[in-house]
Amino acid sequence: MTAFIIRRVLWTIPVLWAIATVTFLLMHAVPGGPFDRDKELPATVRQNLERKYGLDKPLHEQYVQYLTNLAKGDLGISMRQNRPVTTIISEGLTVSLQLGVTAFIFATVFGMSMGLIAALNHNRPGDYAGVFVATVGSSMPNFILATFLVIIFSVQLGWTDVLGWEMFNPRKMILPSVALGILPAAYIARITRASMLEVLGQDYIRTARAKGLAEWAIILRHSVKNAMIPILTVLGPIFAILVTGSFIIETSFAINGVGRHFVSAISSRDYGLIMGTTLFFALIITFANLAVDILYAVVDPRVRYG
Amino acid sequence: MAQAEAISALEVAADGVRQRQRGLWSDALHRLSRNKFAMAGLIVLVAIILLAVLGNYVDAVQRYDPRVQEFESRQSPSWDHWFGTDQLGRDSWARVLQGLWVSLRVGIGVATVVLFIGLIIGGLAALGGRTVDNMAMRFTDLAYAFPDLLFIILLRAALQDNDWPILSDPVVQMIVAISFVGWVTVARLVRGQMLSLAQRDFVLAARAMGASNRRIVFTHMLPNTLGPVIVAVVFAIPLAIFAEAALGYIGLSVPQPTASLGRLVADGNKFIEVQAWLVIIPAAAIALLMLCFTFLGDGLRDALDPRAR
Repeated sequence: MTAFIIRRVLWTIPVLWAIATVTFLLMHAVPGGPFDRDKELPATVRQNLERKYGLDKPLHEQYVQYLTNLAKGDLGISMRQNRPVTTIISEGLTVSLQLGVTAFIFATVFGMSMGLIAALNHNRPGDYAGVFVATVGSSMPNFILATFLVIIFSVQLGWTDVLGWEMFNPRKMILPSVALGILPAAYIARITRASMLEVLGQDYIRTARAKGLAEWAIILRHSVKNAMIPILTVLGPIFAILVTGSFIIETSFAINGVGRHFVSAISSRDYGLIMGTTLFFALIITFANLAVDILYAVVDPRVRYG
Repeated sequence: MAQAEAISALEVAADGVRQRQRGLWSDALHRLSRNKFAMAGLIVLVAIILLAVLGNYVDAVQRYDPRVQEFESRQSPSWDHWFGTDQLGRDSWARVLQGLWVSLRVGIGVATVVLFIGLIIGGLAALGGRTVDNMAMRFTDLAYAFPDLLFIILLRAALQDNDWPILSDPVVQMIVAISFVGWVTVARLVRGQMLSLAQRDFVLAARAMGASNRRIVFTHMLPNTLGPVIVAVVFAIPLAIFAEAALGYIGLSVPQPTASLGRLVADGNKFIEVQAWLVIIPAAAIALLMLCFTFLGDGLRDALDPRAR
């Protein structure tokens, strides 16, 4: 197993390198430079700016410089804001993390309980209701849901605020977390239901019933524990996506997180900030996948480390 | 009496035989047609597609030009403007129809591209021998590690403003950008299916009878991989529509003045407290479109998976 873990860890290096290279190439293929303004900059100012950020050097030199900086953990400089990307990201990260973690807790608790209820009421109204909610939840884009939630709870009922985020302030917390967490919640619910149904059909459950075990013991000790494995595999990527992929929700609730920086960086063609945030997101997703693969190997003795 | 019983037993048996004789595809179609949600989704979809096509090519349905600002802005829905007018005085009905047509083209376009790339790469991986398989799988692993929406945005930004043939169309650019991250699932599925089919007895039997490799792949294996692949491709459509809408929502889909449903929602959001219909209508349109495709996909999966019976 140690060999498997080492091989899996080493595999992240070419993955990250490929992501860095593709990002670099795409960024330089984007038409228009970071210093294009409505009002043309004077030629000397432009040249000085380009020299300062190394944009006057040939592409391969810029590439080598970029990779060297990356290896040192330096994600580059935002050319518009003239600050290191890591500083900008760490500023937005607190808020993004708060939102992501809250949404993750909501998705896990709500999704798993919905899936459990559906599985325990298999082919009864509770099951159909659960499956219906999960289907609608997973086919409704989160910003659409956010819109409807705002119309109902903020505009009509006035219970919550239309915009903003503040930790532990329910008026500003509930809507963004629910809007962000409902899609993964629906996904978790579907997997929990399927996994529970499979486990409940196994012979050892029948054995447990035949022994006369209490129903709660069968469900908690024998079923849920074994049904957790497939759920565990999706939780890692879901966590990564929730912490990183919230730029749509951040935009719709005007929350100043990392995602919003990315969106504004794209429209202002801030090369440094775009590359920096993309790499940062890729890094989180890659490590989340790594963690899940290793965890999976530890938890499920049937996994072969081939 | 005994004779009558025997005859009815025979009839029951004959019924069973007749039922078993229905082929895989007609059987699947039969099962799909009995799935109420899937059929409802299909009917609504056909209606939406018809409306979107007519709305973009027939003036009587479109009623007004979606690009021209010629009315008083933000009117309520009326007999003249069925969905009212937007913040710049354009007819919302025409704009929603235009947005629907963009979404549909992106969704179906991505599904087609993803199907081809997935079949080719997945097929190569499964049939091309160990080295090709390893390379193709490492390649899909890499593509899988990319953060989806971010790369769609980057690719979309890199493709914009070019004047190459075909690729200069913004809708095609969206299709290419979304397909770039979407093909991985289909490729993996095709590979897995082909690898497991290659071990099955009927392939061994065909080989023993001296069938050529090409015949085994195209007549025996490919039709058997199609079921799950069709399901995956149908599920790729709502994902692509979602990606397009999400990009439109942050202003990075097709450029103005062309309407994108996501863009309409974002624009309407500014007036959510006063003219809520400006956001409710396009939002409902996206939700309906995605729901229909999801129901259809669910129905197809149940119909095409013989193990689910």
